[in-house]
Amino acid sequence: MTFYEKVLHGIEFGTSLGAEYTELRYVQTVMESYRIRNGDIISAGSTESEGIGIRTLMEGGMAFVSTASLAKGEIEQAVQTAVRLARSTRRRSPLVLSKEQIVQTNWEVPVEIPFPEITSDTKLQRLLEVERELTSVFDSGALPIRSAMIVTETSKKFLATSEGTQIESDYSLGRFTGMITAKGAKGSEQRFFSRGATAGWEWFAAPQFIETFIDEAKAVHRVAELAEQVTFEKPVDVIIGPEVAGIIAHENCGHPSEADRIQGREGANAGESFWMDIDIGKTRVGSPAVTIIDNPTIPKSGGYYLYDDEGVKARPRYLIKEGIANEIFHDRQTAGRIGVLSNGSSRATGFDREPIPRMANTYFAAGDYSVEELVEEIKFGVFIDNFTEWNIDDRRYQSKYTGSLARIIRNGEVTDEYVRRPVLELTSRGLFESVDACAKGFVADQAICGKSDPGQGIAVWTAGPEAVRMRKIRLGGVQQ
Amino acid sequence: MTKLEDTLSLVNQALKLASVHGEVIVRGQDVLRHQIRISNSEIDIFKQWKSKTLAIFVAIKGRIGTTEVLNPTSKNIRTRVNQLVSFVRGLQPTPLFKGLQKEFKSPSEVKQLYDKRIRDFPEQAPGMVEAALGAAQKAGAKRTAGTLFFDETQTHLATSEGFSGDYRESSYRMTLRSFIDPESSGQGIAVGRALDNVEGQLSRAGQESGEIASLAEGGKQGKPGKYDLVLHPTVAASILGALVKGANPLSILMGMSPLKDRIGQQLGPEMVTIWDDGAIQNGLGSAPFDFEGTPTQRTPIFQNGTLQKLVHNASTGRIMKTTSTGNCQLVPFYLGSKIVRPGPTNLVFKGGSQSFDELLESSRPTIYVTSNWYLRYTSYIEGTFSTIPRDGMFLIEKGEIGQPIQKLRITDNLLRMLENIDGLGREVQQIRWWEVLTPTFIPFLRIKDVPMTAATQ
Repeated sequence: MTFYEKVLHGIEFGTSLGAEYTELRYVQTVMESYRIRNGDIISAGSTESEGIGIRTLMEGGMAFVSTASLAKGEIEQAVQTAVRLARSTRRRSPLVLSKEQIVQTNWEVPVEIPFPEITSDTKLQRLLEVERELTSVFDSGALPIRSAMIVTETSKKFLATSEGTQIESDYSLGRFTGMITAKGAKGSEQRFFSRGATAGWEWFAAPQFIETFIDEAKAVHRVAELAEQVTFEKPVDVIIGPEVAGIIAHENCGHPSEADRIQGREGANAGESFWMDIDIGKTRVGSPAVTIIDNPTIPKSGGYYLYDDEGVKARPRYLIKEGIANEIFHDRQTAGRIGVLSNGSSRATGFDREPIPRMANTYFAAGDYSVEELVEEIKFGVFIDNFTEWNIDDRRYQSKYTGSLARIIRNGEVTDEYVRRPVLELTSRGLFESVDACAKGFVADQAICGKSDPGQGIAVWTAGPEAVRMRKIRLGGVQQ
Repeated sequence: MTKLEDTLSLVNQALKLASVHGEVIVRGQDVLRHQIRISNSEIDIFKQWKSKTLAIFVAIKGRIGTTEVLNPTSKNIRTRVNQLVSFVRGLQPTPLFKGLQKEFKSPSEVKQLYDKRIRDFPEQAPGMVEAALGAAQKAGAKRTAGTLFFDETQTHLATSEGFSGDYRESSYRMTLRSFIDPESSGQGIAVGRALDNVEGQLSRAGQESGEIASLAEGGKQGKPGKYDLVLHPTVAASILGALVKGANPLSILMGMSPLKDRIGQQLGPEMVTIWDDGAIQNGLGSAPFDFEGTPTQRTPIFQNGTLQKLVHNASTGRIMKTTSTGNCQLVPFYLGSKIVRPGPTNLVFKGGSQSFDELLESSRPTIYVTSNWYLRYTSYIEGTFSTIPRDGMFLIEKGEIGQPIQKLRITDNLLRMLENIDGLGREVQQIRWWEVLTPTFIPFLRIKDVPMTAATQ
């Protein structure tokens, strides 16, 4: 029996037990990673997982069971357990899944050089090039801690449902992270960054891999060398770079627009949402300059997919359209609950996790301006390129972003006056209402979006145009 | 659960194949885990995970690597061991590996590690959840969300250096969060290994969450400024635990800890004594031995406010001219691979002399914080951070819980907060939840002069 046949047998078996809905998702994943610190390898290895995640709906109750055993008997036992557990929930309000189109298809990430074709030595040597380049540019005293990591991931998936959907996919994701501690005249600064793409080894082989580390190291070292504490007595205009815009799009807009949070399902873990209190499609949550999109279908993107883990076709979601809260992330469960269709947001991080509404690639839509045009209208302000610390409350309303690379704007020009750790401590509404213009372009960072318990850290891009301008921001948080 | 001898046989097969090439650790684990998730006072989903995994660590001439074999069979063990050996040979030596533990004492005796009643728990759990939801409702909750996990695990460990041992463990952990309205909530936690009075423990968590939520109703925007904070054990575990977890040579090496080279320095007041205790009764991080086979133990991290010791495995112990503290762990290192390194087991804070009511007694502006989340750093190496209170937060007025307040952020430095502890509760409670991953036994704490900030617009 092939794994396809076993999955389909499991579906039939669930139906024979009376399940209202049965879904089996076979996933085989290989992840490999290498990490160096100051040129020494500190970890290397691979994790391979293979198994089937099963969901059943029975008497209005839902269960999820996973098995790493692909033996026919074990799969039957797992399906049987799922039916029993679903029934034991004894729900008063039966769960309903949205009625979606039945799909039989396949999709894949286009790859030029598959990761398995590259030896561990080649991967490691590429990583060690980072160290060689960094130490050729900087004294070791300037960057006392330099850590770099490569992670590769490939997976094969086969999803089948008792409604007839069958989707096969092949996936490949590469990402790297850097962690740099820089020392300068003004003290120590730390910088963490990450980039990624759905691609093969060709993406690591490109020059941007090394260039990113060098650029990041230069920036954080300049901050450690030059940044001064500045107290801003009055509100100032602020321009944020794509990294800051991306995290804001993700945290202040993406998370609150997840339907499971809005419906309370993440209440004890990732929390709920201030979007519970608004009228989606009508309520203004930002200025007309703010449009935030989540689009899983961007080729090579870090959050790329074409069909979600419930078999629903992926498409762009306009979360905020010209300042109005417009659309929320649905899976079939959250959509079924309010009688709408899913928008293909359901994802799981492995065979042993249930699919739930997730972001993919979330970003401010680009505007018509150049960065220079945004800057030239500012007499005095701050350009915050990237950030260090951030957090937000569990209703996604009270956020904080501490700038890392930040410079004063004076008389329409970005100066070489570096500002030490400027703080944007703003409500989501206060933040989005202050935006008056977005630049052109699209720049993305790779991130891991955390949610649920057990945790499901999923690959996403946080992105934005080259700059977003915010007017009259009181920096520094309120502190008396 | 598989029979113990079956797991043992698979572990030994892997050990025999791999140890021809170098130093080896093989750990076989059978896990049966369940979870019930709740929202809107109903069960959303009932989950089961059943897994059998072999984790393999290999060191060949200073080169190290790890892998895991899910659903191991003789065939796939052979394949994966060969792949791992070939992979490791392609690497370079790491200066962080100085050999596995060579000498073995008897494993520690851990009381209440396993309760066989865990086997019947899947049938009983939905009813107990309903009882806990009822307790929350009775305390005032309008709706409740939560998660209940319960696990049974069987572990067998063998190393090329001659260690072989096994143990069974059981555990449960529940988080319940009650809501009066979207902005008025409270949380309760129940954690343990032994199932004595588990229903009572779950209901107590439900009741606590409902009570805090009820008190939180009508919360107003808090006024930013410096306050003394009385921290619920849940918050104290998150913040102080983050500091104590930095007593780890790898964290220090990576620039992820403000404790750096501060051993021997008085960093906190005399009343602060903190251990890492891998053998404490009922501790969710307890086990008879660590990943190298070293017996777990009680290691003093802070003694009367002085940083005493870091946790070690055999390698870091040798590097720092000391011995393993029984803290060797195999843990994920970001993504894609696992690393063998020292890590915390259970953090145990010595209880103080004050009751909760005594901690509230103060003429200074004081806030009681019941829960928090999202602790992030501006600088790990400095310990500069902020975190956000969630659920009930209250002004203390004349020594009593007063006006509920909202929307403030704790913005401080871990070392300064340790230094500023000025009150410790008597009762120590075990905390383990979504935001606190290392089981932490900790009392209510009082910390003076903590900056609280708020959004500017």
